[in-house]
Amino acid sequence: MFDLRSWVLLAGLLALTRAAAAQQNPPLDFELLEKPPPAPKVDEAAVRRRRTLLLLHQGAGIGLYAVALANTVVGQLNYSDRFASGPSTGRYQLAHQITGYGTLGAFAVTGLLAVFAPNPLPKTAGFDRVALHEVSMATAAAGMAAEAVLGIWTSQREGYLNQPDMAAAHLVVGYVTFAALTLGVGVIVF
Amino acid sequence: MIAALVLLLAADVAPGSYAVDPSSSTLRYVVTHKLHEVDATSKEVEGRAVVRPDGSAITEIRAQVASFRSGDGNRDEHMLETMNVGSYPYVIFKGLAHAGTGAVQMQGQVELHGVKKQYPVPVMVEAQPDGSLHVKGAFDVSLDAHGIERPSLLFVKIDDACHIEVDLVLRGAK
Repeated sequence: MFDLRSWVLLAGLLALTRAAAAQQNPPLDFELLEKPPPAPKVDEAAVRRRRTLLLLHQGAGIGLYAVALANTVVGQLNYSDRFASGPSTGRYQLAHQITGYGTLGAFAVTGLLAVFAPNPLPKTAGFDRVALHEVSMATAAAGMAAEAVLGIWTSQREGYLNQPDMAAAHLVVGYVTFAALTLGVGVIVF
Repeated sequence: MIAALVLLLAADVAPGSYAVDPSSSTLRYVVTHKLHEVDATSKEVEGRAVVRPDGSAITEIRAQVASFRSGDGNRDEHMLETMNVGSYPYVIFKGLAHAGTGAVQMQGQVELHGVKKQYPVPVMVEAQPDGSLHVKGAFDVSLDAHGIERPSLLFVKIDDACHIEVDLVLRGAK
């Protein structure tokens, strides 16, 4: 058990340790400025919800871009096979339909995740990269709607003389749509 | 972001109170992602420094987190969300140093996101002809140490180190 001398030594050691700590960590508990005005209330739950939805939007966007790229490639292969030259085999037609509808579905999901994300914090004015992203995606959305109509219409014109022209229009609108999608992704990523 | 200012007072700095001139002062932070860098500046800095007769000085600097602008509204907004600006609207620096113009080391404390951490802050103090003091310095803080969930893009987080630069003008306060 400790005797009195041991307790005194221990107390001295403790005091020295505290003094050393105070020297290394000087007291900074002073106040030189007036208390600031209270900050505006923010809905923290809405902020967390927004972060979650936009993270999901990011992931879905990556998936969307991948399937859209595949759809564009398969679409070109399908057009080349059906209308460019040589006999038409139709071997890419089903794949193009699958990736086409997949792109539409992925676009809808990705867009809805962003649309339903709340905005609890004030937005800064001006045309920024998000505004450009939204304009690009709106253009892509219009393009996809046109593509769906053109694609179905073209496939129903089998045997008609104007089918190649409609297919060409579908091809051009497809590239423009993919370009808008690429711009929309690029302004956010880079 | 952090408002950092170290006030160094030397024998050629009179004891008294000095206030930050917001019109001539800025705070800047830089965070780095693999794909890009975010660089934001605040021009709404408030602060005060007190020079004691013994030559030591204490200082307190404060800036609203929402006052930092990078030129990219999306990234500024994202930073406000990350910093929980509703709960922690200010970044506050307090420091202590021995007097001295030129290159000086200050012992400082940064309160960011509700967490206080101590950092050594090197600064350069220059006495100006009009009697003001021009203070410039830079240091890094750890976002993780302040409990900040680092934002990510394409599932890659920004670097933990946040580089802070201060460029302040202090004038004798009444």
